[in-house]
Amino acid sequence: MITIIMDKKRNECEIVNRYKSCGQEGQVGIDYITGIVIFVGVVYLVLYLSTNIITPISKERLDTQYMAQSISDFLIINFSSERGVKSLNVVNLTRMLSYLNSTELNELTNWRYHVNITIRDMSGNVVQSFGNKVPEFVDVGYVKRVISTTQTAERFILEVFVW
Amino acid sequence: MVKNEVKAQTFTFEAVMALIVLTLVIILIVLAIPLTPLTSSAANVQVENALESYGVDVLNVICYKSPAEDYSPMKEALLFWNGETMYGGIYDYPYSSRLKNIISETFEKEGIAYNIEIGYFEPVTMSFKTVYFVWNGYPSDNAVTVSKIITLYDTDPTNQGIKVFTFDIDGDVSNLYNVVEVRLTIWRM
Repeated sequence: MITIIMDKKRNECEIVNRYKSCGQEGQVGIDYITGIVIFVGVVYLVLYLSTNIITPISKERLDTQYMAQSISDFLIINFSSERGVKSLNVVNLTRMLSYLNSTELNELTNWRYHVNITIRDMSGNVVQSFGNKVPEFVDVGYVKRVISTTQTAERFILEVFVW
Repeated sequence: MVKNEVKAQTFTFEAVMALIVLTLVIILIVLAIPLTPLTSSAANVQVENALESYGVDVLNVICYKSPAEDYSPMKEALLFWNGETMYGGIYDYPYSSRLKNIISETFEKEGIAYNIEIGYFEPVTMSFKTVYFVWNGYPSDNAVTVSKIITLYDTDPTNQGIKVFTFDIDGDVSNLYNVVEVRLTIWRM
């Protein structure tokens, strides 16, 4: 009688252990897949960030940045004040504003880019803004320059946006 | 069977929780660490160039004397400076407000740290000495330095400021008093 009970018990244990074993192996597979997913995710993240850190493979747009730099150089050099010719960054603001008022700014880039030029005073207030409104969520080339004028003792900030 | 399925659910739940925790940790690290390199490398040459160009702009502007003003903002602040290094930014003292305003708008609001050094010839030894006008700490590896010479004249206010620390280099032969060098070091924080 005892032997029969023990045999029955052993059989039950074998059956339970067999299922249990199968269940654990299944979970090992899920853990493995989870680990792989995390690993692949981290590798992707590192590669994605690396492309923006390493210049030669950067996906960041630099053309708009260079264009903004060129436009700011053009404005400062082309409208340098005769009286302030010994100092860089001294512009004839009247002439510059007159030019910006009368010019279609997109012509500066042969209509390939949109341009916005904003002049602020040292308190951050906008003195004048030319061109289209800068859109949100767009990769914008941006350059901030500081300029003086011969007309006043004030200093101004020249901002160029290109997109 | 039932017992095993419950265990399977437990393991899966733990795995999902671990995945969520790890993902959150990765997101937190990525958001917390600034990815702009602070050490010199080929990658940030463009950043340094842009910073140098901006530093030249600001130095030109603060050292420029418009016909509409008596002195440039930098020279005005130097002429009334007591010779003590200012820590953390330009202090409020007579005739410092214009320089302080420009520096605040161009550097401090942009997250750019700066040091300003003044170089001048000492009266006794006639050696060239530099002192910190503003000290904001040690620059990082990608800092850039730009400098400019400012001329002092006999007719500038005397017996105060930077003129006390240097001397009249040619006596009364000309209106020239001496020259001082302004060195501006800037770096991204």
